[in-house]
Amino acid sequence: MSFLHPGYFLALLGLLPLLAVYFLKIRPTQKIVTAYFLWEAVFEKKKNTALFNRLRDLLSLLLMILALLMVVLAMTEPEMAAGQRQDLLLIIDNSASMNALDHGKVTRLDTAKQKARDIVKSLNGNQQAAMATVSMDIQFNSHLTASPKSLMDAIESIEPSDCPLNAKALGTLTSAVTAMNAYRLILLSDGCGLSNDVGRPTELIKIGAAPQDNIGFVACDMRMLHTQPPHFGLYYRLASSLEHTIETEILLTYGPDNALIKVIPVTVTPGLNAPEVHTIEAGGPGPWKVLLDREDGLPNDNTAFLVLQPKRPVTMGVDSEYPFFLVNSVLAFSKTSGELQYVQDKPEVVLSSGTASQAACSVMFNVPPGDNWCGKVGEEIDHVMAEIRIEDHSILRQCDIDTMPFVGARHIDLPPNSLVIVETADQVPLIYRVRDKKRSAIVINMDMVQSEFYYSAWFPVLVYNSARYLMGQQDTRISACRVGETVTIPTAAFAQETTRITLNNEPDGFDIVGSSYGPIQKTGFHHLNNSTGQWSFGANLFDLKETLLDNEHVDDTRQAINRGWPLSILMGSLAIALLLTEAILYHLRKVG
Amino acid sequence: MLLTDPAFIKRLESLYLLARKILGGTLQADRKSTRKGSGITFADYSEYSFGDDYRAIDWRVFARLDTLMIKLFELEEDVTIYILLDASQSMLNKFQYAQQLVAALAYIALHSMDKVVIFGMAEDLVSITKPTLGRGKTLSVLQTLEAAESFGVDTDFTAATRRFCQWHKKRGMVITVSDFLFPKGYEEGLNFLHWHHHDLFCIQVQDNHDRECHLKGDVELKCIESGKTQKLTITHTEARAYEQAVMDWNEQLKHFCGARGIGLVSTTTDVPFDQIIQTLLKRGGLVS
Repeated sequence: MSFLHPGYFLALLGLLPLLAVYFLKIRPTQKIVTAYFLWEAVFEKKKNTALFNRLRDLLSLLLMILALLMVVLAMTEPEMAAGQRQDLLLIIDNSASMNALDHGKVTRLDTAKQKARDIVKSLNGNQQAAMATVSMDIQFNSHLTASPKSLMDAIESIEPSDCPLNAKALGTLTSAVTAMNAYRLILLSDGCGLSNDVGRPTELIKIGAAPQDNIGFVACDMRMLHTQPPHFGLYYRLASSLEHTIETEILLTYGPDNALIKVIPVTVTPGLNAPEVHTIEAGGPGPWKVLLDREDGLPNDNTAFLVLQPKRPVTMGVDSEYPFFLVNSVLAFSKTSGELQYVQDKPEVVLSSGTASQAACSVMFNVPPGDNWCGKVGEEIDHVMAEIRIEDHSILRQCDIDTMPFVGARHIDLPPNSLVIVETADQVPLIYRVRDKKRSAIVINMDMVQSEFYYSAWFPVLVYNSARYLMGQQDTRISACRVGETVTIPTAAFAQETTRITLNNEPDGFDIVGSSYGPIQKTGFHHLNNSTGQWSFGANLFDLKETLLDNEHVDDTRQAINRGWPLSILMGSLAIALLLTEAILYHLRKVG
Repeated sequence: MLLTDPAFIKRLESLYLLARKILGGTLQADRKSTRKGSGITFADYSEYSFGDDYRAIDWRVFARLDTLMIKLFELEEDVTIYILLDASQSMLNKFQYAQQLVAALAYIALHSMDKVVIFGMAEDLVSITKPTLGRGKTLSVLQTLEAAESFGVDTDFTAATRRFCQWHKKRGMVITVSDFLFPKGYEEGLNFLHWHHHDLFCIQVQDNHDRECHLKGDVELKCIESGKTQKLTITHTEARAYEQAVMDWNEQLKHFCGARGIGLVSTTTDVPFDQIIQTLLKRGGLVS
């Protein structure tokens, strides 16, 4: 037996005052009587109980000593088996598959919470536990505590998540816990998303062993087609945990009123189904819901939330003495995807060559020598070797810089607030972004005629990337994403701005700063609003393991948990019982 | 309240006046013995027996009834009132009350021109006042009585009565003022006095602590007289047993006195002493 607080044994010194109190207690008060001889008859009758009275005093002393001993022992918090105590780290899987209904009544998460409550209720009082949840990542709901109330509160606070289980996050935690060797990590999960080796030595209390029938979307998307009149393309992919093929329907609704646009009959085979594509002729840009018309084990994957993004071409004009190639580079994207549009009046972006454009946004080639707002241009340089300063910049997307001939490039002294993307080994900027209070521009430092860049395939691509970048549309706006993913927010170029985000048209939202949003935790429509305008997209489960509810490969690996009352509680209770008995004796002594 | 306090003496005077009113002025030096003798006041008839005085034969009765009857006359003699005051330790809480009773009795007796002697009684008999006669001695009797204190260790009523009878052969009225809680009993002493033809009267003075048990729990009982101690756990049962024992004791005293024609008044200290005297006077058993 070991003691957590052996210092409390000093409290045994309390025996001394206790004995003093005892002797004061048992000392009877002397009473003078006038008819003592009449009392003698009473004494005779009481002779039979005299021995008990003497033993009662002794018993009383014994009880008080024992009670003090029990209290002191309780204060020292003894443990029977020293060195074997391991505190518990209870992790409840609240991923999407835990929303599956077992027997059509209780979700797996509720079952897991109930099992966690049972563990907490029966915890040995000396054993501490912490509560956490896992879906995309580990979230701690309580610190390490022996307080059942704190743990119960933590369990109550657990909400279901729309995210799939991130086994990697669990694995990381398991490794850390294993290294400490002080905790038992107990996972309450249905096992969907877990592999056999992930989580060892995690003890798994398996929830929802019965196979569940479920069909759900594992992928879905929607795009505008380049047709006139405009049609839309719907892509989806289903997965089924059923062991047989079934016929069902997909309902396609559009708009905030969920107007039914189309009913698509589908045949769903077991496992992962082949992708399907449909052309939709009605409706338009905006929110769409793709609904699987069937009740099954997991409702989370029966709806796909999509937002059909409207086409919004960037208007471009040309400012050059020889505009032919420049105009055609714009028209290349105008006639195909329609993402650039050539205009002569009030263009958003001006494509210039040989001049320093004064437009608000411009893409400049052949900046003339001299002192321009976009830099002080000097002598031409020879033997240009381009080096990328910022890898994966959106301007360089799908461009091969190594094959670009920066012939006719000149020395340029950059103004402040310039961002060099490509430069020479001597740090002469070749492609850079420059801006002042009124203007921003992408400058490509080359002589297009000398380098014959007009004939390069990278020329229209570079123009396209630069124009989209300047207008904050460097990334194609998605219609849907998976929960757990991070999406890039369209922001004004070079700006760290605030974006207001609301979910499913709820009035309350929240703000984020920066150009990325995620990882996304909730399924449904996400609406983003910033200076570049409003953008919406749908977030969906789209996880094959969660949809298939496949946990047959995972075994329950729970081990026995120390249960029962701690010795200190038992000793405290015993002390109370002893004091009660002594109180009864005291009552007999004082009241008779 | 002091016995010589004017207020107290005033209360005694009131009692005396009340006694006179109740008893119709027959108090002055004519306290008579109840025994029959050679006085001049006719008392009763009795059948003649051998040895009786011929002169007492009522010949008129003989003429009518043809039976010899003699006339009996009240014996006229001075009667002394002996007051035995229990001065043992057991009377500690009741002693002043008993003194007040004795003072009242002595006052009435002295004013009735009776001779009064007061004794203190414990394990032995101690004279508190010498035989006293006359109203003029009232104050000195009260002063002496007031100065009397408890004494002795244990009460031996029998020994005290024996000593009393040794000292006073002359018959009289013996008034005993005590709680009658005598460990060795009261029977032998009262019988002894009765055998000596004294007119006996008992005033039993107790207090609530004598009659009721207010003790609870573990106590060490100590006898006030003998100093003996005993530890005892007093419950309701023990308390009731003691109270029953006291009741039985008092009841036995009552029966004992009743059987022998001994007057008995029982009182507690919470009853005013003059109320007890009034009761005695109205019952007529003591003074008439």
